[in-house]
Amino acid sequence: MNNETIGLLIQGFIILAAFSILYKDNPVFKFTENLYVGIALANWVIVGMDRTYKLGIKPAMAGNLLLVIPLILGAASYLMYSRKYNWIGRIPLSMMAALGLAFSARGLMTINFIGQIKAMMVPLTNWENVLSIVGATLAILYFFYSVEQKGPMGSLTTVGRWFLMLAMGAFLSQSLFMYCTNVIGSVQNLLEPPAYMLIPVAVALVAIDAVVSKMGIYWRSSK
Amino acid sequence: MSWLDKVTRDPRPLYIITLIVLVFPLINPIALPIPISDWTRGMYDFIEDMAPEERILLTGHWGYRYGELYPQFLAVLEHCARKGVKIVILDGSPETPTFTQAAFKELSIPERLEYGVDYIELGYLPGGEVMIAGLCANFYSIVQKDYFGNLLSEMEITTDIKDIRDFAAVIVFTGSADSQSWLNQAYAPYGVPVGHSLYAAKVVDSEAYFRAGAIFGIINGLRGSAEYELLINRPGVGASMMGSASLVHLLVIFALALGAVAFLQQKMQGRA
Repeated sequence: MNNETIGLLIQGFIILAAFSILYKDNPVFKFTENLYVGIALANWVIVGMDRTYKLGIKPAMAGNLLLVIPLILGAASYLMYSRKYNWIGRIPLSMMAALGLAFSARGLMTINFIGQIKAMMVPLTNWENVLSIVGATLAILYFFYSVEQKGPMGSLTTVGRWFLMLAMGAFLSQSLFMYCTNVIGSVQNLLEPPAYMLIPVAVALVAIDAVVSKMGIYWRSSK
Repeated sequence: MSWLDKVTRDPRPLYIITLIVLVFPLINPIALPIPISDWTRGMYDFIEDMAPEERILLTGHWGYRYGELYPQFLAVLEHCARKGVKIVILDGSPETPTFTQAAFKELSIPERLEYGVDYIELGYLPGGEVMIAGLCANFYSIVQKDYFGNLLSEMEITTDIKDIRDFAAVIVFTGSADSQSWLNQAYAPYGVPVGHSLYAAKVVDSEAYFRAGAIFGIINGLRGSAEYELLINRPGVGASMMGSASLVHLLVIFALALGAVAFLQQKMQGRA
């Protein structure tokens, strides 16, 4: 049995263990759940330490003293766990939040604001364009709170809410498609040899558990 | 208790039906028509129109083989390789390099193209949007070595890169905020064209950018990869999984209708 075969069998076992929650909560599922969290966390910790050393500590020790500042700030973020010095820990977090906001604001106006307004300036020559403009206008109107939403205004905002619901429906269906792909992908993995050999084993285990559970109920009721 | 009540209270029979519907097309492939959307066509046309000496940056976190992003990455990588454009790959997460190597192997990239001349892998760089901003402004201030530790300044493909304007386009394979980050840092300040190759759930956000002309194309989840595979005439994982996806969606519509009927029935009986 080579490494690839062992890898496929482990992969198949983990997929089946994850799917076992669909039958009922069980120790195998819990083991897999914890295994996933543990591996993901371990991976991030190792990569984080590796990157901090290679991109921060090593160049700083080689003479790039400017890197000492982010290293100190990074270490200071752990002071969040100290009651006495947690105010110091807020400094790097504030800087990160401010930097993130400043960088993301760069494209905010041009892409998300002006760009979207420009995209709405379309000729009313087809139904798609008309529907886009009416839908966008009424959906924005729904969030206009300076006028009480009753009477004609109430009717318009109700239609705006319908458009919002349609958009959310589209989002939900796209999410469903994504989850569906994940399930199909997992099943596709299971169908690959030799992983598919685990399927009858899993089915047999579920069947045995179902029979034992039923018998348990029968014995308890007969007593 | 009616059968509708039973189904709504214990969905396990529905899981079994879903599994059967899902597995059947994987064992017996069914050829359903896959029309090409404007989103995918935009992506394909852009790469098709690129000149061989132009450079493209492919970045993101394509995961395992049967996920959504990996088949997309595979299709785009194949198209770029056929066109002979210079491919620079930036892995979007610590585990991505493993899958990048798997993609190279699957497409026989090392046999077809020369590493360091036609393509290169930068590996994973932490820092999120701040790193992206730095990379766009001054390439060498952020990255000096490739994934294997080779100096980028000594590689033909990267030796003359100064900033993001030395790339003809950036294609982001993601399901997270990275798609917006590249728009903020590459498209908004430098005007470098950006394409989005996304998880299906993320597409609704990006459609507004496509309509506004901020991105040149979108690959929409599994369906998008199936479309792209057809466009490059290389049916792969995406196309093979589309039959299952279509049938499962029909089942979901049926289940939704069934749920609505159950709800109405309960309402008429005064139980809802």
